Amino acid sequence: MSPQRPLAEFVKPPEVSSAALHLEWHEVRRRVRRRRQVRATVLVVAVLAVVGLASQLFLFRTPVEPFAWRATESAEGEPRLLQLAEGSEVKLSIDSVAQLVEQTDDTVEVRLERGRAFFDVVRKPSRRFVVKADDVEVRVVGTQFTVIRNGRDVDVQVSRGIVEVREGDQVKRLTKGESWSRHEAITLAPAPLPPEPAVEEPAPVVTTEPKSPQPKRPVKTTRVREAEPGPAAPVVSAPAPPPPQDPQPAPSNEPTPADTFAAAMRARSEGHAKEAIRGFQQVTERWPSSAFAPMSAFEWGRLALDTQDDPRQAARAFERTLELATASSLIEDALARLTEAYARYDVGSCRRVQSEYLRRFPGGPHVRGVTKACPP
Amino acid sequence: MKGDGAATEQLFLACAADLTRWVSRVVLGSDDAQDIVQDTFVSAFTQLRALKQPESFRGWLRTIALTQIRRRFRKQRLLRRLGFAHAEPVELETLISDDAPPEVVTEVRQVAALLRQLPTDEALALVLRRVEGYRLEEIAEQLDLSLATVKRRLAAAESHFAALRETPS
Repeated sequence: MSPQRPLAEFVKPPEVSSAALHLEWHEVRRRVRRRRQVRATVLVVAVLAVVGLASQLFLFRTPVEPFAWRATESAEGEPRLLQLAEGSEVKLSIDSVAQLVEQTDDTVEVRLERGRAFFDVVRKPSRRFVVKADDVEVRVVGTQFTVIRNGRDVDVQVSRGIVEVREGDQVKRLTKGESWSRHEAITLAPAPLPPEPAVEEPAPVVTTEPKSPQPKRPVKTTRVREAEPGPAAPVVSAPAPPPPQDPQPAPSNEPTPADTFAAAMRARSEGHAKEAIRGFQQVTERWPSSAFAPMSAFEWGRLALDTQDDPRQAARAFERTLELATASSLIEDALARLTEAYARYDVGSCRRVQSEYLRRFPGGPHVRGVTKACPP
Repeated sequence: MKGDGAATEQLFLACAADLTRWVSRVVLGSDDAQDIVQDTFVSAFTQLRALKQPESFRGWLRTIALTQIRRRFRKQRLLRRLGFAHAEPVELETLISDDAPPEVVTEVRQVAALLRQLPTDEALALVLRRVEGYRLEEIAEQLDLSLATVKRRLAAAESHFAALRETPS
């Protein structure tokens, strides 16, 4: 490669005029300013992004302030799904309010202010998962359970796993299918059910507060109900409790769905099945648009089938459940129990409902029982 | 040296005409010379603080200009491959002086043709060598390549050039 004679001396580009150079300079100056502005903007955005990211990481690793997270119900009445950063899920029912009080690597604490919440907790032995409802504390390792709070009344229902319920010094372990309740006697006034003038006062299993001689003072009863035969209670889809009650509600003789439902629940847990059926049936038929109606219809059917051996009444109740329920888990349970009821007196309907269940819930928990339910 | 103010304008007016001529020779008839010069000054003035030796401003400008040329050539080649652009005929009449011997005119035309065919670095090495008469070390510095790489690229370009010269026009 020998050096070549340069061609530059014969390549003569046209001269650039002074005017053209000045025009060029103005364009260059404009573009330089614009580029600096863009760079400054990008720098500011980058700094803000880094600061934002750092603050997110910081917040994630440190306890959040109380009231940092709050959820209220969607308008459609469907449970609202809340996904926690560590993987657990909370489903809030209508008119329910919960707060994430703390979320760190070690502890997750949710406070249920009112209403009903279903928890599906990811198993993490190194992390403490606590749900507080009033002064009742539910500790979890990895499980599914529901907490219902209505004023001072608290219900805990375990769908899977084990939870510990703490109330003061008392600790109760609940396993799958078990439930725990604390109801104030004053809020559980006997529902004025037409066939019977009054509901007899139950004897509390555990009394954590001595009964007061003054009639207006609430009497707190705490009880644990063992798991019942049959399908587990469909806790997710169960109706939500009413909005928070006034601390000193105005006295009224008019029964409410909440009162009637609570009285029926209490009657059922005390073994007064017929009275409970009347209560659940009353809620279902008198307040069909109430949030308590679907669950009441289901409980009515369960009691009719399991305690009264009345499959026709049970089938009517479960059919009513299917008309009222919107949550798929309750529909699934109702279809399963309806198959069971029809199996006792109407094979054709049994097969129809059986097909419906298997079509809608091919992987459901009741598949085996439903498949074998209908007689040949 | 600050990036703003009259000093920058004076710097531009002092260097722009010379850089425009140089870029026009390097791109040999391309209409992009003026845009390349403008892009070069915009880039230079926004990173003026990176210039360590103010006395080497002109050389630094040419390095930036070569970067702009490479970028533009690669973009045009990609567009041609994708079918979004076509090779434009080269207009060299206004570029070659009237007193240029016929063999020089032919050589300039051949270099201009190769400039649009060869890989960018090979083409630029060829132009800097044949048109500007740069030494290998200068080419390496301007293209920011090692000397060995420049030799390889230039050898490849020269072989194409020789083949083109042997081909009957």
